[in-house]
Amino acid sequence: MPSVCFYFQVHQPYRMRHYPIFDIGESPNYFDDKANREICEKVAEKCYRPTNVLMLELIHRYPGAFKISYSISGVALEQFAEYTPDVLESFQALAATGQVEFITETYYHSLAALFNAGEFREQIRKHQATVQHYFGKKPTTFRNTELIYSNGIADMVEDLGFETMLTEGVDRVLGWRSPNFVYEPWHGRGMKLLLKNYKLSDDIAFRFSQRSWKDWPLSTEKFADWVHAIDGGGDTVNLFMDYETFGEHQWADTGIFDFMRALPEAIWRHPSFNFATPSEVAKMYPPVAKVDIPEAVSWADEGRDLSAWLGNPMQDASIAWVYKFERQIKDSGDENLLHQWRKLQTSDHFYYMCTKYWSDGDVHKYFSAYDSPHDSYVIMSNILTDLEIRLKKSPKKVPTFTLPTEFQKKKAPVKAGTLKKGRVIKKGAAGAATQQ
Amino acid sequence: MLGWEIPPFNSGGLGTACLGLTEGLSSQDVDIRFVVPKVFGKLPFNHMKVLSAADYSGESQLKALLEREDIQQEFITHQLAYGARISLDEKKQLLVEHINQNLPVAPHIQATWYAQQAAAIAEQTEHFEIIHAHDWFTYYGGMAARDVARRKGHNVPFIAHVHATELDRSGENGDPAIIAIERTGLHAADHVVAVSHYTKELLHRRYNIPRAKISVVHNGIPSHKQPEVFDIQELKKHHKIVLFMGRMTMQKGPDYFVKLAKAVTDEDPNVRFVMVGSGDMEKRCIEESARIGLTGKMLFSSFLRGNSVDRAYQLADLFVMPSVSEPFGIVALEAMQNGTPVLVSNQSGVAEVSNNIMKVDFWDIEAMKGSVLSALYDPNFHAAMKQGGYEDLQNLTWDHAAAKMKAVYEHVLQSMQPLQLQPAYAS
Repeated sequence: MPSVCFYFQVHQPYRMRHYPIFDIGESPNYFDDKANREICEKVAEKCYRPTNVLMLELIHRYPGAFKISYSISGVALEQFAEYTPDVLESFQALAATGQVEFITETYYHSLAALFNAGEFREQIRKHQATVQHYFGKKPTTFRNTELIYSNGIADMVEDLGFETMLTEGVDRVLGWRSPNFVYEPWHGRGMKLLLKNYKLSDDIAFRFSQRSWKDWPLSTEKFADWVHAIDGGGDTVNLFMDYETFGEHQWADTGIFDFMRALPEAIWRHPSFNFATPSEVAKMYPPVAKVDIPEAVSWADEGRDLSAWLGNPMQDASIAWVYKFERQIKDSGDENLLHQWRKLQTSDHFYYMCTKYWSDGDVHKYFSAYDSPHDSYVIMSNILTDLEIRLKKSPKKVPTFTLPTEFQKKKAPVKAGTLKKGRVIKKGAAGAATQQ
Repeated sequence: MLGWEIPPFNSGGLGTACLGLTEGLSSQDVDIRFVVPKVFGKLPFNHMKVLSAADYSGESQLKALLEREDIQQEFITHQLAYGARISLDEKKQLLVEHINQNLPVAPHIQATWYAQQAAAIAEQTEHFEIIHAHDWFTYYGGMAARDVARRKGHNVPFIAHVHATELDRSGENGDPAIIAIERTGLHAADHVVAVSHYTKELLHRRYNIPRAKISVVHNGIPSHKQPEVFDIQELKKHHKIVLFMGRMTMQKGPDYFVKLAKAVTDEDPNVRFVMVGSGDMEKRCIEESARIGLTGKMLFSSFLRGNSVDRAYQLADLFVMPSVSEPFGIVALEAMQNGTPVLVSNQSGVAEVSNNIMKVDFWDIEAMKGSVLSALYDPNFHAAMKQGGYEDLQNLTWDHAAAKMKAVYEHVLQSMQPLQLQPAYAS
C-alpha cells in the first residue's frame, strides 16, 4: 500500500538592500524592507493565497485522506506576520485540519550545518519553538536548508530528538537503489530518512510548463500512471518541491492549479495508493537499508551538491567572514544584532553570488535580487564592514560566570564593566570572573 | 568645438575636461558652439550652446561625403550588411540608432557618422574661426568641417586636442582602426594640443607628429567651485582608507591597485582599500580580491556622480592613481582639492604639474606600498602634502588652462595662410 508524500518548501529571505559605501558605520539598516514587502505581497498573491485555498479545499473534500506537509522558514514566517498576516492565518487554518504536518528547518534557512554546529542547533530549536507557537504542534521531522545532508548532519539532527529527516534522492549516492523506500542514516539510531523522488518531483516543479519536454503537457492521468508504476517496487513516492511552484514558478495559466486539484482522485484510481505525511510514512514502512552519504548533497542544481552556495572565492570568503562574527555577536548580548547577523546567514545571499553560468545560471539569475553575483558580494562586504564597526563601538559586555551561592566566598563578585581590557583576574580573586 | 560628451551625461574625464576648458574660455570672451553626438536632457549650464549632432539632417553633405569617401562608404555598408538595398537616408538613420543604443559599431562608422553631422552643422553655421576637436571620435568631424569652410572660402584651422590616445587606453592591444583614425586626424590637423608633455612625447614617438606642431595645455580644476565638506564618516575613524577612483579598465591599472592592497594589508591589516568605478575589469577585480583574501579589506562602489565624488575623496586618507598610461588624470587634482594626498604613477601627465604628488612606477608594488604606508602614518608628511597640494592648485585652474589655450588659438590663426584662389573652371 504505497503512499504519496508531499512536502512543500516555503521560504522568503530578507534580501539585503543596495548598501552604499557611505552607509558603512552610519546605518544599521541592512535589508530592503520595501523590496521584501513587495515580493512577499507579490508571491502571496500569485502563490500562497490561491494555493492555500486550494489545499484547504482538497483537505475538506477528502477528510482524513488528503495529506501534505510544509516547511516554512522562520524568516518567511516573520515576513508573513509583518507583511501578509492573512497568509500566516491561512497556514494556521491548514494546520488546524490535522491533515497537514509542519516540518522544522533552520530558522534562518542557513548553511549553519556546514559551518557551526552550535548555531545549527540553536536555529533549529528556535524554528521548532516558532512552529509550535504558530501551528500548535512540536515538529518531529526535520529538513535541512535546501535538503543539504550528510552522515554528520544526520547525526546532529538525531541528537536533537528528531524522528524523521528528509533529503534528496541523489543518484550517485543511491546507485541502483530506489528513493521510494524508507531508509536510515549511516550512523542512524532509529531516525528515518525519506528521499526525494527527484524525477517525479521535478516533473511538476520544473518541467510542468516546459514545451520542449516530450511529455508536455502533463496531464493528471499521465502523472498518476507514473506514480502507480512504483506499486510493488516501492513504499512511498516523495514529492518534495518549492511551494512557489504553484502560481509563481509555474504560473496559473499553465494549468498547475487544475493539475493539483485533480491529482488526489487520479492517484486513488489505483486502490492501494494513499497520501501520507513524512512522519506517517516513517512510521508505516520499515527502513530497508542504511545509506552512506559522507559528502554533503543537496537538492539544488544539476550537481545536487553545494556548488550553488559555495565554491567561488566570493562565496567562500563572505560566508567564512559571516561566521567569524559569532563570538563577538554573542558576547555583545544584543538580541537585535544577533537576529540581524543570523539573517545574513540565509543561504540565498550566497546563492546570489554564484557564478556558474551554464543552464543553472539562468535559474540563479531568475531568483536573484541583484544585477550580478558581484553586486551581492560587494553589498555583503559593505554590510559586514559596518557590522565590524558596530561591534567595535558597542560597549563590550564582559561575560561573567558566578559560582552557585554555596561555593561563593564572602566577597561580592566583580561586576561586569569594572574590568579593564586585558586584565586577567587571578585565581581565587573575587568569585570567579573570566574575561575573553 | 567638437566633443564626445559633456557632464552630467559623461562617462569619464573627457567630459569633465571639456566642460572646464569651455567655461574658462567663455569667461575670456571666446564664443563656443559645442557639438556632442546627442544631447540626452537639460544641461545645467549656459556658458555655451550645445548642439546635438543627431538632430541635424545634412543630406547634401552626407551625400557628398559618402560619395567622396568611398572606402568608408564600403565599410559602412559592409558593417551593416545592407549593401545597396537601402537608401542613404536609411543608412544614416541606422547609424544614429546604432550610436544611440551604444551598439558596438566599427570606429570608422562612428567617426564617419559624426563627421557627416559636423559637416552639416558647419554648413548651417554662419561664421566660425576655429575648429577644435576633442579625441579620435571627432577628428574626422574636424576635417569635414574644415572642408566645408574651405568650400565657403574660409581657411579655418582645425585643432586636434588629445586627451587620450588608443595607446593609453589599451596599450599594445589597441584597436588598429581607432589608431588609424587618430593618425589620420592628427596629421591632417593644423595644430595639435596635448594635455601633458607625457602625451606630447607619446604623440611624437608613436604617431610621428612633429614636436613643433604640438602645444601642451595642462588640464585644471574649476576655480569657482569648492567641494562641499562632509562630516567624517564613522568608517574613517576606525580605518586608514586608500582610494581608487576611475574607470576599471586596463589603462587605469585597477589590477595594480588590487596588488597594492594585498601588499599593504599583509603588513597592516587595518587599512581599507576602496575602489570606485565601473568598467570591463570590475568583475575581475572583485573576484581577484576575494581570491587573494582581501574580503573585508577591499570595498567596492560603482561609478559615483555629483557630490558623492567629493564625499569619496574626503573619506580617503590617500588617493592612488596607478594608471598604466595616463595623459593627464584630473581625478588627482580633484582629490587634492578635497584635501586628500595623492600618489600617481610616473606614467601620468598630472605628475608634471605638482611637486606635492607622490610618484611611483605603476608596476613597482613594493615602492608603492612604501609610499602608501608613509603617507598614511607620517602625520607631518601627510599634512605637508595636503597643504602643498592646496597651494599648487591655485595655478592649476581652468582659467589658467583657458588662457594658454587662447594663446594657442592666436598663434595658430596667425600662422594660417589665406586660401589660394581657385580658378572658376575648377568647380
